[in-house]
Amino acid sequence: MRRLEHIGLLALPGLTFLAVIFALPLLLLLLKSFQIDGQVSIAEYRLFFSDSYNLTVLWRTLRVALLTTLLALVIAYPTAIAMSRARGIWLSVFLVAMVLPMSVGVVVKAFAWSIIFRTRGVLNDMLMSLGITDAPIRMLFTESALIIGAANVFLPFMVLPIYAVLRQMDGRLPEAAASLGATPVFRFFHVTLPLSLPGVVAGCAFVFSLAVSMYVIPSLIVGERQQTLSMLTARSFLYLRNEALGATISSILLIIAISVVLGSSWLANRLGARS
Amino acid sequence: MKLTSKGLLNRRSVLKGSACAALGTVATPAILRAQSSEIVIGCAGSHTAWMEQIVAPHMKKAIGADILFEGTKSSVNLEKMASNKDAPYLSVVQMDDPVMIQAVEADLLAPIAADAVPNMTDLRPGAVHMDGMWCNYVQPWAGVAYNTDFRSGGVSSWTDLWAPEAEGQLIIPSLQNTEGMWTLFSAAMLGSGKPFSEAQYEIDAAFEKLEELKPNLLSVYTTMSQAFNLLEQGEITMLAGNFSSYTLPRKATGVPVDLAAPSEGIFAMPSGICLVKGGPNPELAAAYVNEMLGPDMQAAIADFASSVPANTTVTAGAIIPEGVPIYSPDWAFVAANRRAWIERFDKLMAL
Amino acid sequence: MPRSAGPEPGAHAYLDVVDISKAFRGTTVMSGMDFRVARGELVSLLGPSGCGKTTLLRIIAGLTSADAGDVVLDGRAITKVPAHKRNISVVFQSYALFPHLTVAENLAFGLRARGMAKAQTGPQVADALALVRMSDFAERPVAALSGGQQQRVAVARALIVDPVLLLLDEPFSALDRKLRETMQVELKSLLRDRGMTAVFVTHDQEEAMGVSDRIAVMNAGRIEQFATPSDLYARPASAFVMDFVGLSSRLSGKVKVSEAGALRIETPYGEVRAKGALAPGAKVVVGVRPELIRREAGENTVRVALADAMILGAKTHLYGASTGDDRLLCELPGIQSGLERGQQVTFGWSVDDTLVYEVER
Repeated sequence: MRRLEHIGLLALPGLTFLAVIFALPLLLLLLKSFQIDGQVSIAEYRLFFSDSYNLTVLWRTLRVALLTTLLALVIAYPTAIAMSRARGIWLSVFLVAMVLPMSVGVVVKAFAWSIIFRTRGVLNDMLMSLGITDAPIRMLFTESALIIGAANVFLPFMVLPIYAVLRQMDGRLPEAAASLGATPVFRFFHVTLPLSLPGVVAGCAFVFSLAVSMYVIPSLIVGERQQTLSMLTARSFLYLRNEALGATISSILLIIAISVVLGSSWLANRLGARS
Repeated sequence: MKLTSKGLLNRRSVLKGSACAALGTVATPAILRAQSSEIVIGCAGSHTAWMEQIVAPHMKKAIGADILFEGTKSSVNLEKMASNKDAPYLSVVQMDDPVMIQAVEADLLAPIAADAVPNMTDLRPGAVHMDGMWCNYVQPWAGVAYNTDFRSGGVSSWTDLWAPEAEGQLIIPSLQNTEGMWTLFSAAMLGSGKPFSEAQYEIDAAFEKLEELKPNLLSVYTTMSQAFNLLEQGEITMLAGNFSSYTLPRKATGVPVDLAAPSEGIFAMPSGICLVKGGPNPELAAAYVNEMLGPDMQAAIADFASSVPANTTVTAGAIIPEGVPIYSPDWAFVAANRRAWIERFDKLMAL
Repeated sequence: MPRSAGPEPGAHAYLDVVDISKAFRGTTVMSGMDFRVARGELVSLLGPSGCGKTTLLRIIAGLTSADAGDVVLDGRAITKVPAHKRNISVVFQSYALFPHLTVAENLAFGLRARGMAKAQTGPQVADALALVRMSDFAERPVAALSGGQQQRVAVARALIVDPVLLLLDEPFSALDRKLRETMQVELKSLLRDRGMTAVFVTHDQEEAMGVSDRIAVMNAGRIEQFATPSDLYARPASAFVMDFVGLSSRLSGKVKVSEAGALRIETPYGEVRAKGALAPGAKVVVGVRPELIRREAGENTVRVALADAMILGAKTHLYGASTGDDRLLCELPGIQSGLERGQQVTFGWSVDDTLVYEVER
């Protein structure tokens, strides 16, 4: 018991920090969303959900976050496998390649993508010179561009948890499976994949939470014509000066994020319980 | 100088992070107030260049003030004032007239008086509003910015925005930005067929006309710098609502852009300056405003930012294109309806 | 054991490892390795860590590829056949059970990998569980099992697919000493009953002696001797084998006289006679198994001070005072009392029991 208490003490600075900087404002926000003229009410929520435009934005936000997560997963998984097998200098190269881009601001990255996606940009020049398309394809200000850009920015948050899990996996397990007659494909689906699921779940939770609440990336890559929930939030607070609406939208975002975190930790526990 | 631009960047990035963070700036003023020669000025993001190069060094010399400035949209400046009403950290704010009206309604401004700011007596008529609650200092004019490489013929009429050959070639500002009003008002004129003085109240006609603009729209911006960058690169050929204080200095650096004055008319950007009620360092703040309205600053800014000075003793500055009417809308009407327009506009433009 | 009697012993080979070479990053692990196992034989690869025994096992299993040479199984070269097509099961050190699966699912894994539907695996899994007396644990997660239970599951998982060869990498090293012997007996009889051909890898000579028909003692990528446990013990082919397999007294010396197959060797403890044909002046190591030494004068006799007497229950070990790598050890049955450190003792043994190895220069 005493040892547990000491561990609690170690977490105290972090918890205090989070409580003051994070939890308290969120609580105030949540309260605000349920109050109209000092009375407890869900009117703001009813108002929000009765507007089909808001539902479109909500659906777009979820869709973009989901597709971003999927794309990041598809790119990250093989990368994580390669990293988990890399040794020495190659491992360092991989880790640096993963971590270094995180030090580049998201604004800079979004700008970089908007350069690449231009009609007269690098990507279109390449597609045209390869003869894949005759006329330039409009990519900037499309949802695909947003998903590609966001997946790029959030990739490390998917790769690193999967890598960490794969790195810990006993390398003899796939060998044992092979000696029992399992083909590489069978080994992947029955050994490597199930054992890496906790990392996949963690990575997806990270990326989904980040993608559902991103603001700068959609502002720069798709603009105001395809608003997301966080853009609506900013608009409500800063331009409409409608704090109740802003608080309501933030709270909806918060609920989505909390559900994802709780859901994924439940899933990770369930997966982890078996091993 | 380093300090000022750093402060700007920090705040700006925090702001972009989340809306709540804007409220979080409450924490900073205590530190900033500590030094009495410092005053914090809220201004527009597009002012950054001349605030850094002209205003800050001049103020250090003339009144011994260290200027920290935060460049952002007018409505964000308003939000900063409103959320810090009990303990303001901004002393002076430079923002657009429609937002000034909202600030007066929210009781956020202190009137500018001639005894503390003698230069206000030299301003041309109409530049002092609501008994000195704010003054216009310089006024850029707004039209349509275009890329001279890809659109050598310029933009002779606002109808060019709607032309079929402009498909996917146009970006317009959001109504969240002051300059977004110019597309709305030109749409009102074209849609209703009435002269500007009447057309500015024909908002339904304006929105109907704006809907026809959708095929030509590549995007709608709230961050002007990115949209302008796309114009410079030729990704788009026209950027509606842009103004002389931004386009013309860019043109002067050699990028292939120019500002067109369509025949139906151009608009006067309503750049105002005001004192924040209860803001720190009131004497220094008044001295700053006086300098901003004085002949030296007026001439320098008007030259640098290709704008029309408000001080009648100054002859320098931009020449307003001849033969084209210049309009100034009923800002009280704008202020009263803007929120509804923003929501309507966002829904209309949504993909 | 063999299907047909051939003229040469080599023709009986079921597993035939031919001229295998392997290097890791320029360091040669083995070269020209030959290794043959007959059908139904239980064989151990015994050696210190780093001797190449695990590498050889992995090459046979197909988990590591050889740089040169061939692996032939039942007359078919399988060198290029991938591991999952060899039908060679491996029991790994610490077992490598699948942590996300239950005991029954671990057993069913090999069947399912061969395309059997999950529903059909039941009877075979039940048989295999019964075979290793683990029927009550079918639905347990493997992490909840003890070491011995995990080993049983690992063996059952390996055998359920009816492999043509079973490879076991240090299968008992994770078990405590008492359990180890029980499991060795159990496993050996299980494999014998099924006529399984198996290769054990171990660094524990007692374990190798306990489970194997023959033992290949490996050192630095070579097989020093490949023989039955009794031959290995009684007639070690080298000083290394003598040292590695069982205990021994060990004296360094120099050949003084060599005539008609008889040697007189000078050691720090007096002259020792042995059989052999070595040139006079050759540096040698002389060895004797400790149970062949008596506390009385024999054909060879040394008198030394007693350094230590260790009473081990069923036997007592007497250590004579010695220097350097030399060792004088006499094993006597039962509990020997009345011995004191420092007292002079006489060790005697016969010439026939004296082993002599020339020290390589």
